[in-house]
Amino acid sequence: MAREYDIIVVGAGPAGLCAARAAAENGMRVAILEKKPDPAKLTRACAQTLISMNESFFGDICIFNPDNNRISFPHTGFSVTYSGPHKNLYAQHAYTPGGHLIEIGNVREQRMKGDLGRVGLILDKETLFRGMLEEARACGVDIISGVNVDAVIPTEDSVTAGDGGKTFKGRYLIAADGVNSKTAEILGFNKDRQYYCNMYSIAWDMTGMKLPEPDVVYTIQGFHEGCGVMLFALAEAKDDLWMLIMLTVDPRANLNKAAEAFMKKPFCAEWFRNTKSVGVRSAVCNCWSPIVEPFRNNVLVVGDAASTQEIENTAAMISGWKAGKAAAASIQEERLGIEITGVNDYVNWWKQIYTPLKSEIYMKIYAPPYFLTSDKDMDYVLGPN
Amino acid sequence: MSWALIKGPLKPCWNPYTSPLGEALRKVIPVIERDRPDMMPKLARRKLAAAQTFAEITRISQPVF
Repeated sequence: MAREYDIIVVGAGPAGLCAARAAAENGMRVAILEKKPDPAKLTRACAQTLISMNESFFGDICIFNPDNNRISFPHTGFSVTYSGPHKNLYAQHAYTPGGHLIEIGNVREQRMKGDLGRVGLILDKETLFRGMLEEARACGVDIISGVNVDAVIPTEDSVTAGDGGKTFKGRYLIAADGVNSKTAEILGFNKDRQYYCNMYSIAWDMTGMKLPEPDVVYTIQGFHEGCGVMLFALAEAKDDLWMLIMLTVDPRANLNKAAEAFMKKPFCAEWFRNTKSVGVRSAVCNCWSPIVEPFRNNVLVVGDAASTQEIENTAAMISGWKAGKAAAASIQEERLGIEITGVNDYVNWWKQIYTPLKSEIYMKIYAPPYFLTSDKDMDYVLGPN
Repeated sequence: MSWALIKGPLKPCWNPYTSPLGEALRKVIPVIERDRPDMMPKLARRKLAAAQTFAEITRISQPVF
């Protein structure tokens, strides 16, 4: 016998938690189904940042106020709690394989502006999750962990989801199960998408890293054994912890060996000389063109599940919130016997804000090794000559 | 010479959709065309659609769920 709700949300990440809370705040009975036993536990590689803090992103601006512990989105009209450690990022320093620096942002100028000068915010994602879970629970959301949804059956007026044991039924289902969304695949949302590749990453928590500027995110692009790879290095929110991320879209790349080789490059060897790994996570992310029609058979797809590779934490929260509100409005309109318009709010926003062109732009991050096909080419085009 | 065209740091940005690096690269293309015309066919690949850019990788990859 299925447990019945108004809305079932699959996935307790930033998109799913926002969707669930938005729906619950608008009067709906909501359950989140999360496969992890501990929904707050971070199990995949993640930079744990909010990006684009100094410009509009997905039609909104992201404000963090440490005085009241709120991360807010004024255009969309919501906020979430965050009471954990945080650090500002003021610039991105991109290095060529040979060590030429391209400064994206003048860190000294940005630092002078304080919080208004930050391009990104480093936070502790587990603390973010815990706060968001508490807020969802406080609105009456049932958070059901340990449910790895592998069956989704839509009918004319409901959707049933389950893992072979427990079954849950809702008027609508919101698929927020991430970049490798099983729900989107089961329901055929991926049939019209262009599959590009996978993004593979390994993230190490480290001590002893000595970056030239502690409030800058560093990238080094280049090749290792013929495969294009990229190194990211930045501070973590907790004191004295740093993160090293190696990523690639080439399945032949050996990221462990690439990390070792990159950390020994003459121009940056000193940064990593005394580092020690104290934790490691990895991730494999599907890279697709986005879902163009994110609503079908009473299912809305949100966040990474609908986007190219990752939509970033901020946009995940915005899309989740919009979808949760939209589904709640539709249910209430249906109950009142009036025209149902709610879901269209989300679909129209998605189509307007996330066109196929955006996936083309996003994939440019991983493109340089496919037109600058050697370290020498990269150094020539991106370095001093 | 290429990056001598760019005066000082690029605009502060950490947004994968509006990175100023692409714009900066576009500005130095005429210099590269003059100094290293052999690079132009490679740089022309920047404009390919993602499906073409990653075609070789797509062939040896598959989605995971």
